[in-house]
Amino acid sequence: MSETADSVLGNKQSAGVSADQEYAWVSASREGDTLAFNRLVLKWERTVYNVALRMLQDREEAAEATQEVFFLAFKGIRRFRGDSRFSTWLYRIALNHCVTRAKQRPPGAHFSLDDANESIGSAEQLRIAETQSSELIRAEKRKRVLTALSHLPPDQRAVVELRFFQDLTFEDIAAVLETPLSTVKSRLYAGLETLKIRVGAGA
Amino acid sequence: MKSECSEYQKKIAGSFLGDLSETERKELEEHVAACPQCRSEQAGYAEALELLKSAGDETVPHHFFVHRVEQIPNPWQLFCRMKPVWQTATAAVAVLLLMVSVAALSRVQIRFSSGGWAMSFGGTDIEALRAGILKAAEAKSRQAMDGRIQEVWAEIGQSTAAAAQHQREYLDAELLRLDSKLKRRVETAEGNVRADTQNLVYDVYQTVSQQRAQDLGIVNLRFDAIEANNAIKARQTNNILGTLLEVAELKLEQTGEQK
Repeated sequence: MSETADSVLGNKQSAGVSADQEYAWVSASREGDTLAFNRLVLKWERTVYNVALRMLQDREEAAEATQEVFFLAFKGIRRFRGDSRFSTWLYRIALNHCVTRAKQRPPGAHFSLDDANESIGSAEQLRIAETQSSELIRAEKRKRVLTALSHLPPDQRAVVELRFFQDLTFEDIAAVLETPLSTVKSRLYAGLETLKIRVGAGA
Repeated sequence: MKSECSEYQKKIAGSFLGDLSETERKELEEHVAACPQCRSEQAGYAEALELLKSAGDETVPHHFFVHRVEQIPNPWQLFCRMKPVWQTATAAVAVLLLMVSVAALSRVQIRFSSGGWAMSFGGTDIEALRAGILKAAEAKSRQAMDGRIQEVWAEIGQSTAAAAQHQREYLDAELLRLDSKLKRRVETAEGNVRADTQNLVYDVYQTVSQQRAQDLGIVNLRFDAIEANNAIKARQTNNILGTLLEVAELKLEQTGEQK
């Protein structure tokens, strides 16, 4: 992963958590320390959940997939040798799992993109949110993003996620997905064009 | 769209992906500045990416935790978890145990003779082995026979007891059935007798009544006959008495005349 990407991810996820601290948690997790692994979960759950949400466009399924990703990560953390960053390894698990889930869905599966399930849905939170129009605008944008992404095949969705939401370079994306660089580029070009068309059409 | 614009379509996307060289980027900028269609295309990509960047992340619906599920590892998993030294030692012990087992099963004979160890497969003394096997088989057979006899006796005992019990139950059931049957018959007979008796009494009453009526008729007739007879007899008696009186009067008259 590039330094830029790492810094972006680090700023997003782990205010106050140093790289050394994360390394210590990973080491403890490899020895079977559940508490240490759950600290990693707490640090990365928002990223993984949003990756899953953009990949699956369904909040309930995204939450399910997030839980499964962390379970898979915990099961396989002994195999994580530390030769790449933990985030790279976690992205690989999350995206592979979400792509598999997305491909297994029946054609024309229903997506629940209603705002009712979003975390601002309770009456009290809604009252607060009404006074914060910027948050409502962002919620509406998220809905448009999910709708536009739903028109992409899962493989294109994965590269778009890593490039535009996680700011990874082509090389990092190829490493995370274990895919040739040329394939990554062709998927990105195709995905970006579809997004432009869908957003322009008001998706 | 102009034909040259189609060449820039991919480059516009490439510029947003950071996939253009410096030269390509400058060339594209010059073209876009002069081409409204490509500017529109560029604006479309910019709008899409602006939307992606500004949407932000959602908060998680709940926290996610991982719990350890303890499970008992199987022998192979235990072996895989061992350090290489222990794996080697365990493998050696396993191979040794396997060899001993195979040797025991194949009746390998290992002997010290002629100044060294000798190992042979199969029996060197076939007759002794055969005799031993026969003896063992005979003993086994006898033991099995004794066992079987004991079992048969036990089965006979159980069978006899079961038969006796069965017979007792059968007899009880039969007695019960006969008793019930007898009771039913007695009740039926009683019913019949009761009905017959009622009929008989009625018949007797009828007969007696008729007889009585007949008897009364006969008595009446006899009374009438007696009465008639008595009247006749009375008349005859009166006639006789009248005659006798006449005779007596005559005799008296005669007597008087004679005197």
